[in-house]
This record gives sequence, structure tokens and C-alpha cells, in this order.
Amino acid sequence: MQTDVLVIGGGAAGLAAAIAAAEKGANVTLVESGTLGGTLVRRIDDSFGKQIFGEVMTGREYVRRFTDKLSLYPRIRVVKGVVTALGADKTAEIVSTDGCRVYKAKAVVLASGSRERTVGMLDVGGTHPAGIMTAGAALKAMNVDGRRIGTRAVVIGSGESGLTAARRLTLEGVKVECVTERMPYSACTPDMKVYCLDDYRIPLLLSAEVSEIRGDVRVREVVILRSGGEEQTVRCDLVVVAAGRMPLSALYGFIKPGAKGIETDSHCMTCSAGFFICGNALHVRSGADNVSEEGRIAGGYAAEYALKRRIAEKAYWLTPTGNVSALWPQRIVAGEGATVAVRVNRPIRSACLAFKDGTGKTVMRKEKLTMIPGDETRIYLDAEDVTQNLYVVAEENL
Amino acid sequence: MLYNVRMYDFCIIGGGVIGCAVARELTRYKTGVVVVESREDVCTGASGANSGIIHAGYDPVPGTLKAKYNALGAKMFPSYAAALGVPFVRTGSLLVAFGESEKDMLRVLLERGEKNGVKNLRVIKKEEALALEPYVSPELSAALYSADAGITNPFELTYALKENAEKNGARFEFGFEAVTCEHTADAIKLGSASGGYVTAKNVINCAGEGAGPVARLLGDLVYMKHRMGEYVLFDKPSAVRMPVFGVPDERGKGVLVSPAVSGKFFIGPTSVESKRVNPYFRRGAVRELFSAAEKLVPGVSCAPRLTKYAGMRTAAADGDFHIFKGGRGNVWHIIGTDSPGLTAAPAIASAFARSFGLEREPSFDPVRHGIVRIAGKSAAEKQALISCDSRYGNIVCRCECVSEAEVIEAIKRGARTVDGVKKRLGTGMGKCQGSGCDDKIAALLARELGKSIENVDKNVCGSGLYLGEDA
Repeated sequence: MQTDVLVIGGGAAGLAAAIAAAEKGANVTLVESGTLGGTLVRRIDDSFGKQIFGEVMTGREYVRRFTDKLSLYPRIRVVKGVVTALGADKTAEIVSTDGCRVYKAKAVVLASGSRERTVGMLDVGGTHPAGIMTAGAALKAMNVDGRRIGTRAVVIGSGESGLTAARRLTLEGVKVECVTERMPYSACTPDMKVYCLDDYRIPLLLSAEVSEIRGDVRVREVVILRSGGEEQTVRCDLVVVAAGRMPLSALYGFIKPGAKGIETDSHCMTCSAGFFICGNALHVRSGADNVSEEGRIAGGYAAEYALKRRIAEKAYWLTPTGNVSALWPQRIVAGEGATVAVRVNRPIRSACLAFKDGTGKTVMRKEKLTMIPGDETRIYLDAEDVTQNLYVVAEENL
Repeated sequence: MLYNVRMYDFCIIGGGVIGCAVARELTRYKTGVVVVESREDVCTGASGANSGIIHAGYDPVPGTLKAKYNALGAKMFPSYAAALGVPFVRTGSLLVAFGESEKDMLRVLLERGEKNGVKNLRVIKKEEALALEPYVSPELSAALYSADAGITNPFELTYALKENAEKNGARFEFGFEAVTCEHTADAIKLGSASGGYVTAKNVINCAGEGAGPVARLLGDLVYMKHRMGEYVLFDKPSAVRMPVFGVPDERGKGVLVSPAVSGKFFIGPTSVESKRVNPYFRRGAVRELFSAAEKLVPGVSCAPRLTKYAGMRTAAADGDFHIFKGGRGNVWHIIGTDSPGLTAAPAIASAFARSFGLEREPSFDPVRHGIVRIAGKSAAEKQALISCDSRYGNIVCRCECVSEAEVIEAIKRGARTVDGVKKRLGTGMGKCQGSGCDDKIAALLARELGKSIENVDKNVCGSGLYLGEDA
């Protein structure tokens, strides 16, 4: 089966990519194994849509906007199935209940998302009986399937995932005893902390790690190790693990990643020509709106590539240094503006992002108020801003 | 509830690899066999948490039962596994020594191996060891290479033995914890904690972690030790091509680095004496495992970690297998079957079954086919499977490419819990470790077993993923 653009994954990134590719005139095949909307379908909090639609809405409503638009494009073919193999030659083996078909695409958009870190990957001792779930699985169970998952919970991890779960659990009648965070600072924005924890009087324990889970048939209690070495035993029957996400990258192992994952240019194209990547598969961040924006860029340029309208571009490198632990995209196509997402490795107040040339001379500065590790900082660079390879560092304005 | 309407010839207590192997071997003869298992499924104890290594047989002390049955089992294993549709990969194994005194130990093991009848065993130099295993520590002084050793899927072996035993007429009773024992003139009547009974002429104690209490119930005193073993599992590709061991000590074979049949690899087990029967992961265990494994394969602790798990081995005080007739009535014990119990299982079971001098059953069928898997098939083969059964096209575990059709078949063959499906198919053992598929597996179990999803357990009774209304 032939297609211009194959979009793998129908979540926030993939939906936007498929629509953008179709708008450019490409024939699109969108493969989704579950429900269109992916992880957004389990989100019933209203933190979506402000950026793209100018109004707030739940994750499900946000998805609906995209699926409604999807149905307007007959050149988008939606396949409910799983890509079981992907070749460097852009052939994909897709399994569905209709059979197993091989698709040949001219461009591929990887929007297959990420998976959550599970309790077995953490240094938590004790037993792992029933009653331990990841935050995503917990939200799905409550919001989509209407299940009861516990009566007293401890949440591991203070990022967006953990906090959303803590709030949701409380509203579903579960007593959230605390949220533990192993760093000395929380992994979320102060706004989120108020919205999810303070409003519900859920304690956030910093520099705290769950060192042991106890219980034979079901979770009975956890032991929390505090920074001073003290231990605290908390009775609970549910442990929610919100310890971060990682890209689900088994399919595209032939694309060699850089130190921080797959590297892209400002068109979302990887170093393998014609392979584009966007969303959580590229880098995990909070905020579906900017995932959709990234998907739109990836889909649009994938279409241009497929329809042979654009060829490989000249691009300049941005390299993270110092407190900047990572940034996306790593290459900015010359002559175009681009939005760059930057992550720092520690909280920095009155921060300033400095762009330096190879000799260490600062070529450009962008002011930012506060940068925290748990949140990406997004800055827009104009075409004139990037005319050479640059090193990016976060400095404190003293 | 099992009501006694029938007198069995043999009642085997314990549905681990030993109990299932004995059951299957007994069905070669004209005899009535029942296996009583306290849990809801076979393969829930040590058989469900071990290294899966088929040891060549140089490790046990010559003259012991371990030495005899390890070597025999290792020789039997390839064709035994093939008949049962169980994977076996002859990877070889490498035991590395550091320094001069450990080098001497290699010669001791070589001699032991030769005494035990192990072939294709030799001491090799550093260069050859590094050629076999490029990532093994270059600090090694020498190594013992056993070409005949291999790896298998220990869960699949236990399930296969159970399915084949059942096919040949053995009966399996689950949720039967033997708590009473009555010796009559010509039989033994066992009573279950839940009220059922089973009567048999002969009772065989293969209860693994329950060997001690079961032996006492049957009228014999045995002293068993529980030793816990912790493991860490890493994602593919494997850092090693074959199991890599260090020199063994009095606690056992030590922490090793080994591939699994799935292509993943693991480090472990530790060896910790425990009074508890339920395994758990100690807080310092990861550090201990990493430090031991790094010595063998430097850098291994940086590999992408999937999960950690622990098993409990039950060993006899003197460390050997113990196969003996009990003091009262027709009671037998096959206990102390820790490593190399898995390798020895075929040999122990067939010798044991043969020892009764029973008449052969001509209709015995040794062949068992595994569940047909869609993963790893060509596109055309996948298409053919889906055309026959469209549920092969509904992939429920994306990480390991497992379809609804396979899950349904696993349930037909005895899976009753999420972990039961997991051990049969590998669902939830991949990158997402169940976070993306546990709910789907639970829903399929609920549907196929006609239960509400709140009554679907993760493993033991009461370990539901979701709570019911009155919880």
C-alpha cells in the first residue's frame, strides 16, 4: 500500500501532524492502536486549548476538536492497528484485525509517544504486590474506565503527571497522604502545586524517597526516607508512580540518537532524511498545546518532503552547555525563525539564556524570569538571531 | 471444591516444575494422577522466578544426587524441550576467574565436571574468553567454558509439562492447600483448607517452599532453608551471549549475568537466608547486585533497566536433592530442589516415575505445541494468522507484540491472573512493564472467565487491580 505521509501514533502530536500534512496536499495514513487522542483521552482537567484555541477545555474536548477536523480530510486514512516493524526505507508493517499490510511511505512522522517509568525501574525495595500503578494507568482507570483503585494513596513524583493524579484521586474520594519528591525542589510550576496540592491540603515532601513498599497481597504501607535519614511509615493501599516518561523508541532503532535522544532540525526532521519526529516521542514535556504545534510543524514539512517540494536545508547547531541540560531542536534551519525548548538542570531565578559563539563571546541574550527543571522554557528565535552555530547556557542575572 | 469420588494412584502436592514433570512422566504409565496446588495456577513459586539456565553439570559435588541428575537432565533437555514446544538455546556458559587462586578453582570444577560426565568442558585463556564474550571484564585470569550449557524459558517449561500431563490424563486441582492427612489401610486422604478432599494410594511431596510443612503433615520431619534471590532485568539487546558466572562460593553459584530467551538479560540472583517464605527486594540489593555484576561485565549497571524481582529457593540443610520414601505409608518426598533443580527436573521425574515398575500407557503422547505467536512472523504469516482468527490482529501488548488471540488461548490453557498471562506470553514484561496493557489483560480475563474485573487478580487471591464497591 502506498502513501505519501505515514503518521505513526494518533495522539496530540499525530493528530496535528496528520491534519497539517493533509492541508499541504499529501495523502496521509494515520495509524493508532487505541483511541484517537492517546493519553489526552484520560485527561478531564481543563488545562488544554488556551494556546491553540484561545479557550480552556478538558483533554477529551481538545481531542474532539482535532478528530472533528480530521474527518474533513478524505485524504487522511485512519488505520486502527499497530506498526510492528519499520524499515529505514520507509516501509511499515501494520497489523490490524483486517490483516497485516506493508505500507510504503515517502515520509514518516513518528508520533508514537512515550511510556512511564514503573516501580520496578526505581530503587524502591520491599514487595510489589497489587496496588501499585503508574499515574497514567491510574488516570485511565478512574477517568475512562470508572474504576476504584484505592482508598489511601502515596504518589511518587511531583511532576505534572503526579500532581494531576493526586488531584484527581482526591476528587474521586481517595485520601492522598502525600506526594514524595526526591529532589529538594518540586518538579512542577508553583501554579500547578497550588492547583493540585495546596487547594486540597496534600503535603508535598521534598528530598523524600519511598524506600520500601510493604504488603503481600496488596500494598499495606510505604516507608519514606527523608533527607536527614529519618524514616516515616505511611499506611496506604495505593502507590502511584509518577517518576517520569521515556520515548517508546523500539520501532526506530535505526535512527541513531544523540546524548539526549533523537536529534532534529526546526522542521522536526531527524538525521534520517524523510523521518520526522514530534511530541513525547521526541521529548517529554507538559502542555498538549505545544505538542500539537510541534506535530503541525512535523506534519507540514513531512508533506513537503513527500511531495518533493523541499530538499535538505542548511542548518546551524545549538549546543546546550552549563546549566542547560538539553534543548530542542538541535539544528535551526537557516533563514527561518523557530521556537526552541530549553531545559535546565536546577532551578534558576532571574535567568537569562545566553547564546555564545565558538570563542565564548555572547552573541545574543534572552531574558527569562524563572527556569525550573520540571518545566521547559520556550523561546522564539527570529531568522536573524541564528546565523552561526551557537552554545546555549543559562545564567543567573545578579 | 474437590469432592472425593475417585481414588488416584498418585497425588502430587505442588505444581512447580518438579511436580508438573513428575505428573507428566507418570502419565507415561497406566496410572491415575492428580496434582494438588495451593495457588490458582502452576508455576507460581520458585519455578516462576529463577535464572532459566540449563547447567552443564560441573558445579555439583560428584556423588551427590545433584551431580547425577544435573548431568542427566542437561543431556535430556534439548529433545525434552523440543517435544514440549519449549525453547532451548545452547548458548554455552562461561565461568570467569580473577587472580591465581580462582584459577585453581576452575581446575577443581573441570575435574568435577569430568567426574560428573560433562562433555565439552575446558579451561580457556583470557583471549579466548574475551573473543566469546567481548564485554566480560578484561581483568579475568582464565575461564571455564562449557559448550553444552544453555538457557530456556522456565515458565514455559512448567506450563508445557502441565498441559502435556493433562492431555495424557492427569488432573490438576487448584486452590487446594493440604492441611489434613489421614492414613487408611490402602490409601492416604488429604484434606484441603477450603474443605475438599483427595484420596490416593501414593502421595508425593513436591511442594517446594512448602516442602517442610507438607512433609510434617505427611509424618516426616525435614529441615529446609529458605534463601531469597534478587534479580534486575535489563532491556534488549543483551550485554552477553551466554550466562557468565563468577567462581561459586558456599552460598551458591553467585551473581551472574545472563541472557534470557526473549533477548533481554538479567543480573542475579543474590543469596539471602530468610525466615519469610514470600520473596521481597531488600533496600541495598540493587547496589549489591550492581557491584557483583560490574566485576564480571563492567558497565552493565548502565544498561536500560526494566524491572527487578525476587524469588525464594528452598534448599535442604546439606544442599543436595532429597528423594526418599517417607516413614509412614506410601509417601515420597522430592525436595531440596534448588539449583540445578530446573535442569534436573526431566531426569528426576523420569527416574522417579520409572522406579514404580508400572505398565506403560500406549496412548501416551509426548508432544505439546506452544501457543502460536504472531510476534516474529513474516508479514505473510501474520496475514495468514489474522485471516484465520481476526483476534490475532488485535495487539494488546504492543511492547512484546502479543495479540488478543494469544491471551485467550493462554486463559484456555490455565492462566487465571494477570501474572499468569504474563508468564505464559511475556505481556507486561517489555518496555512499559504493564503500564500500557495490564488493564487490557485484566479486561480479557474478566470477559473470558465470566468475572467482574474487580475479581481479576494480579497474582494471589485478593490481589485485584481494582477495588470492588465494598472495599
